[in-house]
Formats: sequence, structure tokens, C-alpha cells
Amino acid sequence: MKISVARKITLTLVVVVVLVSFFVNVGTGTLSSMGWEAIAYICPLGALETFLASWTFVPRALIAFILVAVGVIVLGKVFCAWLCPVPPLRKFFTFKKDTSVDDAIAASHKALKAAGATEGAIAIEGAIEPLSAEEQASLVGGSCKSGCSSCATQRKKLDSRHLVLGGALLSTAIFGFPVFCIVCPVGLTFASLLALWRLVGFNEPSWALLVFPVFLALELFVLRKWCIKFCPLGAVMSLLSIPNRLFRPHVDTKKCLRTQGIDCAVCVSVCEEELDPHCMDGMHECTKCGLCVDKCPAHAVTIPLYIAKKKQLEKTKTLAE
Amino acid sequence: MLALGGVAKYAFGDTPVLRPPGGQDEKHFIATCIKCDRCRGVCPLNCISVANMNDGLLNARTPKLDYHLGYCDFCDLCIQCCPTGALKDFDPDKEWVAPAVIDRELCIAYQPMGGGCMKCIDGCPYDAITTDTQGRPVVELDKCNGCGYCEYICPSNSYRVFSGIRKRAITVEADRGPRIAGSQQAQAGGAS
Repeated sequence: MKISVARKITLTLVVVVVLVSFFVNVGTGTLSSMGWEAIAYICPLGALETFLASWTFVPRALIAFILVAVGVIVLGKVFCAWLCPVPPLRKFFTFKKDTSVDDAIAASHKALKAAGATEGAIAIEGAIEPLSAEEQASLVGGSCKSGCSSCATQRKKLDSRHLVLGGALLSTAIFGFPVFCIVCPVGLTFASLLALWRLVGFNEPSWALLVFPVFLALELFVLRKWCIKFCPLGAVMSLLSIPNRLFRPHVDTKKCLRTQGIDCAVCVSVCEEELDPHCMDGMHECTKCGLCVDKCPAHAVTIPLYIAKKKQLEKTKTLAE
Repeated sequence: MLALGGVAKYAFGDTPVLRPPGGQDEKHFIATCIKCDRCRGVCPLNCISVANMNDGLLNARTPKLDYHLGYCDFCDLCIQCCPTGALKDFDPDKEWVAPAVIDRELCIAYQPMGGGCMKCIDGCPYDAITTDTQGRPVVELDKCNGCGYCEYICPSNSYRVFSGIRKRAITVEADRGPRIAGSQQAQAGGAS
């Protein structure tokens, strides 16, 4: 099964659970907090905000927050790709599809074919320069020391998302209520669904039915690149996932077209976090979405449970020899 | 974010909202509620509704009690579910959600011709509604804990001429301060 299919199923299950909780009195909740009675997941940003707003540390919230934090450290930013409804929502309502990724995949397949016919490196028309020997060496090293072309825009540990996060927490501390929750696109998605349900099921029309989707649309389509530029929830997760080492994408350099000199960068162009699975720098931002695995024309990318850095280096060394 | 916090807090004035049991400390409640919808979802009697934009930007999406849909039997499920402690432990014998208030304009029993309606008096699970000398209902504030059963069963909107308003003759109204045992009797006497 493709990873993207597994993700779709997971998110659908979550939405179904939320919708069921609208009809049946089970109180499983939404993605802000989901669980059974006292045992529940809690939104880490929401929890932080309540701590700052009330200056009380309710044991239940604190324990849930710590457990979620440990989960993010172990699993990385999985929430963003597997549970968050925002990226699929944006994709669903974007009618003009972006074809650049498909073009890149098509070009790589073409190059793969061409490489089969004529051995050696092939330069594709209109694409970037093929890698030099030096760049290839840096690629297999697993870390970008001699800035190759594909990692030119490397992500920093702190960026605009963390600024938004800081602002949200400061504002929360000053005004004494969870400020970001008001505009959280995850919350607004479920709030819109709930408003619709209250209208249909209870005849409770309200401005919320109009205001929430408008807020949501603003975030999705005006503040484009919400996830990597603005989302403070992603910012919390990215900070927590810095120590994450499990489920990091791994490139089999034997299979990878790029290390063979073919100018393929499909894994980079499909990555919504703008990462390169060849390069371990900034890899804590990986959401384990598996697009690089699904789309790699040479099936060179996998997401193993764990690969020691040392082992990875050894492997590439024997390959070089 | 700073502007948003300020605007939400001060520009869209927050109207008092009737909170589920344990959420009466409004400052604490609004600081800790993350609008997760769990208390509303778990309520077996469906008396927890959701506040919307009309209740202010700050209150939108937070839980509010709607005694038209059900009443509260203090089963504490919402308090058990609340992940952030916004709903604290609640003692229905000592605290109240808010007191029930009778609107004499709307109440059938208070009409000049006399209505004789005894619904809330008979129904109150805490015997907190007694009658005055003319058989009209009076709320005993030291017994009332705001469970909302009286509002739930009040037939004023059904039996009287339809006036287009949703409000019933007896309502549990938010923002009446905490319940203080002892001092309520005088208040009740003054009201009747």
C-alpha cells in the first residue's frame, strides 16, 4: 500500500470519529483533544497556551502534554502529514493543480529511459545542471557540506513559524486566554463541521457558519504556504522533533538516479517541507508523509524505523569503493 | 497574534455565557478552555451546546448550557472529560451553575387571570421552587443549583400566545455571582 493511501485512510478515520462524536454522546472530541474520558491526547500548543494563560499546571493537562511531547520526539512531525486536515483541505479546494511536480517526475522517467539506452550522465533540457563529482560525493556523505544545488534553500531551525508561535504565546500570556485557538485552522475545520451539524440537527443558524470557513479560507489561500511559513502548531512540533531519529527517509544510493549522475530531483520537488532526503540537515522537519517514497522513479527512498548515521556512512563508503 | 488577542478580548465584548458545571470561574475557564468539544460531545442529556459568534469572538466555540435541549443531572462526565481542567470539580449541594430566575411577564402562573401552572414547582429535583401565598412559583436560592430542569420543562412558550421569543418564563441566567450559603434566603425573600 502506498503511504499516501495509508495517510488518507488515517485522516478519514479521524474525521469519522469526530463526526460520530457529534451524533453519539461519547465525547471523543476533536483534534484539539481526543480520547476516552480522562485518557486523551491534547494539542501541545493548546496545552502550552492554557499553562501560560492561567499560570496553573493542571496535572492532567501536564501529563498529556508530556506524553504528546515524547510522542513527537519519537515519531517526529507525523501529526502534520497523518492527522492534520489542513493540507488535504487546501489540496481539495485548489482547483488549478500545480503541474511542476508532475513535470519533474515525467522528466525523471524520461531520463531513466534515456539512461537505460545510453550509459552515463544525461543532461535534461531545461532542467538544472547535473551534479559534479564533488557534489555527488557530498550527497552520499549524508550531510551537505559543500552546498549542492538541490539543497540550496536549506531550512533553518528557527523561522517565521517560530515567530508566530512566540507572538501567540506572548499574546496568550498577556490577555489570559489561548489566542491562537481562535484562528487555529485545525480547530476551525472541525468548528465549521460542528456549526453545520448544529444548523442541520438543532436548527441553530449562526454567523459561525460563515465566519469560520472564511477565516479558514484566508489562512489556506491568502497565507499560502501556511504550514511552512506560519503554523505555530507546526513550530511547536518542529522544536520537539529536533531529537527525532526514527522513521527518517533513507536513500539507497545504489538505486538513486541522482547519485548516478542523472539530474533527478523528484524527491525534493514533491516534498511539502522542502527537504531533500539525501541530506540529513533539517530532517527533523520531515512529516513522514512518504511522498518521496511513493514518487521516487527508481524506488530508492524508504522510511526505515532507524538507521544509524555510522552505518549509513559505512554503507556509502563501500559503495564509493 | 498580539493584535488578535487584544481585538478578541476588548473589541468584541464578551457576553456572559452559562458554563457547564465547574466552569463558573469565568477567568479561569476562558484561560484554559481549548474549545475541543469534548464536554459537549459527552453530555448524556444534551444540555451542553456550543457558543457561537453572537456570544463574542472570545466565547465562540466554547461550551454553553442550553436548557432547552436538556437539563443537568451533575453526572460529572464533562468534568471528567475536560483535558485542561477548565471545568473543575463541582458540588451541586454547595455550588451553583447559576440561579433560576422567574420572568413574571412570561410565567403562566403570574398572569392576572391566574394560570395555575405548577410544572416547575412539581418538577424541581431539589425542591428549590416553592409557592407564594397565591400559589405562584418562587425560587429558593439556597436550594437552587441551576440544574435547569425547570427551564427544560417550562411550557410558557407552548401554552401562551406565541410571542416570537425563545426565552422561557423560568431561566437559569449566567453572571449572577457565586452561590453563598445563608445570604441567599434574604435575596429570595426580597424577590418574592
